[in-house]
Amino acid sequence: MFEGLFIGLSVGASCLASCGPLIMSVIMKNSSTTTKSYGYLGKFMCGRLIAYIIIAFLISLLCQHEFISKEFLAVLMMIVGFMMIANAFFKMPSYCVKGNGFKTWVRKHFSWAYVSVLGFVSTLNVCPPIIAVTTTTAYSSSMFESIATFAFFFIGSSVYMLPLPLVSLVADKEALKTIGKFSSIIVGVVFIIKAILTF
Amino acid sequence: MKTNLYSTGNKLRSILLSLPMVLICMLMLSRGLTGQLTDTISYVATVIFYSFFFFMMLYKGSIDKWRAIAFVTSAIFFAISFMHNLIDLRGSVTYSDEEVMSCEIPFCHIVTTMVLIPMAIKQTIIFPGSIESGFASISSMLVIVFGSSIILGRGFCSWGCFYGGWDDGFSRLTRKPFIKRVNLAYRWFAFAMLIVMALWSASTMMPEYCSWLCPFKLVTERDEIVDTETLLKNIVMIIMFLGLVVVLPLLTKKRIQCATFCPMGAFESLFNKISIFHVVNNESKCIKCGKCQNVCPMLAISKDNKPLINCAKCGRCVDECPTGAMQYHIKGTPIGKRFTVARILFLYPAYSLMVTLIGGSMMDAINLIFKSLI
Repeated sequence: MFEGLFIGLSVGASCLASCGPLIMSVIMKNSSTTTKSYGYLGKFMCGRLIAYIIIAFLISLLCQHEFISKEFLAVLMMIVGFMMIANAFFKMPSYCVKGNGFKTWVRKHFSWAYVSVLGFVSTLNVCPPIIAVTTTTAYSSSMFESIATFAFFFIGSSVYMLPLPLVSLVADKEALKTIGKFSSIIVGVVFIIKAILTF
Repeated sequence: MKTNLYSTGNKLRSILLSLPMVLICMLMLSRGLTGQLTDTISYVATVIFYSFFFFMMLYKGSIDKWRAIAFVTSAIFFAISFMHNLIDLRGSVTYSDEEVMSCEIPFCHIVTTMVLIPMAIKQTIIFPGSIESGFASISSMLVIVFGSSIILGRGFCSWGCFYGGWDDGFSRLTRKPFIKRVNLAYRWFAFAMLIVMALWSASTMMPEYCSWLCPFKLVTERDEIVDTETLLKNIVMIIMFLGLVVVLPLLTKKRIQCATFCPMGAFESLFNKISIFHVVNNESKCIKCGKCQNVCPMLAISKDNKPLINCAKCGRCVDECPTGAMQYHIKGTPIGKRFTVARILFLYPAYSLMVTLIGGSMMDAINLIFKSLI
C-alpha cells in the first residue's frame, strides 16, 4: 500500500497539471488571503479524497479498474465545465453570514460544498495518474488495502498542490480576481468541448 | 509644423548613428548567400529596406510609424517565405500525423510557454520539433526568446514577433475606432490563457494552444483535414484569425490578439519587471491629456497615464505624447535625463532582433518574387 505514496509522489506533477487549472481559478477568483486560499485547497482536497475512496471501494467491489463508461465521463466533464463557468460569474457566499434558518445554513456551507463537489467530480475524470494507481490496486488483496493505497496516493500527489495557494501573495488582488474569472471561463469551455468530443 | 522632440534633424548624425545598424543588417542577413544574382539583389534590397527605416526613426524622431511599416511588411513576407519553404519541403502547408511524429514541425516562440513546465518537471520537450537542427529548432528559439526578453522585456511583441505584424497592420487600417473604449481588464485574459494553457499542455503533454487556438496557423502551417477533429481545428483557426486578428483590430484599433489573447505576450510581460529598457511617464511633464491611453494598441496605459506591465514598447505613446512625458528609459538612471540616449540605445537591440528573426525570411521572400518575375 505504500506503493500508492510513491506513485503519488512520482506522478503528482501530472495531478498538478490536470487539477491545477481548476483549483487555481477558484483560488484566484474567490480568496483574498493565503489562509483563505489554503481553505479552498483543503475543501478541494476533501472532494478528491472522497472520490479516491469511492474509486478504491468500487475497484475492490467490482474487481476491475475500468468501470466508468465514456458517456459517464463526458457527463462529469460537462458538470465540471459548467461549475467552472458558474465560478466565473457568481460570487461565493461568505461563511460569516448572520442569521438562522435553512437559507443561512445553505449560504454558510455553500462554498465548502461547491469546491468539494468540484474536487470530487474532477477526480472521477480518468487521468493518467488515476489509471496508474487503479492498475496497482487491481492486485490488492483486500478492500482495506485498496483504500489505503488510494489514500497514500492522495497524500503523495497532494504535495504538489501545496504551493498553489501562495498565488494569493500577489499584491494586485483585483488583477488576480480578474485572471481567476477569465481562467474559470477558459477551463469551463475547455471541459465542455472535451465532453462534447468524448460523446 | 510640430517639431519632434526626438528628431536629430541632422542627416549626417542620423547616418552615422545608422551605420552600426547597417553593419548588423549586412552581417545578420549574409547567412546562406550563394552568390547568385537574385540572391545578391534580394540581400541588397533587404539591407537597404531595414537600414532605411532605422535611419528614418533617427532622422524624423518618430519610432512607431517606421517600425510599423518594417514590422508589418516583415510579417507578410515571413508568411510568404515560410509557406513557400513548407511547400518545397513537404509539398503542402498542411501537416499530417506522420510529419508530427517525425518531428518535422518548426518551433515557434509561442510554444515556449507550453513546453517549460514539462521540461522543468519531467525533462521532456512536448513539442514535436527538432531540438538542435532545422531552420526553427527548439533550442535556438528558446535562447532567442529568453535573451531578448531579458533585454527588451515584452518589446519582443513589437519588434521580434513574426506574427504581431498581422494584427498591428489590421489595427491601422481604419482612421478612427468603431469601438472607442476597450476595458483595460481584458488584458488579464492573456494571463489567464497563459496559466490554463501551460498547465493544460503539461497535463496532456501536447502544446494545446497550438493544436486548438492559434490563429496564426492560417498564415503558416495547419492540420491536414482527415477527420471531424481536424476539420473542427481548422474551423476554429479561421474563426480565431478573422475575429482576433482582422475584425476586432479593425473595430478597435488595438492589437486584440496580442494584447488580450496571446499566452506568449503574457509570459513576456513578466520579463518587463526585470528587463533593462522600459517606457516611463515623466510626471513632471505630463499634462494628463490621456492621449497615450487612447493610442496604445496593447491596452498597456493605465487611467492615470502610466505604462502597465504589458507594455510592448512599440513607441506609439512616446511619439504621440504632446509634451514628451512618455519616454524610453534605462532602469537605474534618473527619469527625464538623457532620454534620447535611452531611446537610441533601446533601438539598437530591438531593431537588431527584428532583422535577425524576420530579416532572413524577408530576404527569402524577395528572392522568390524576383525569381518568379525573371
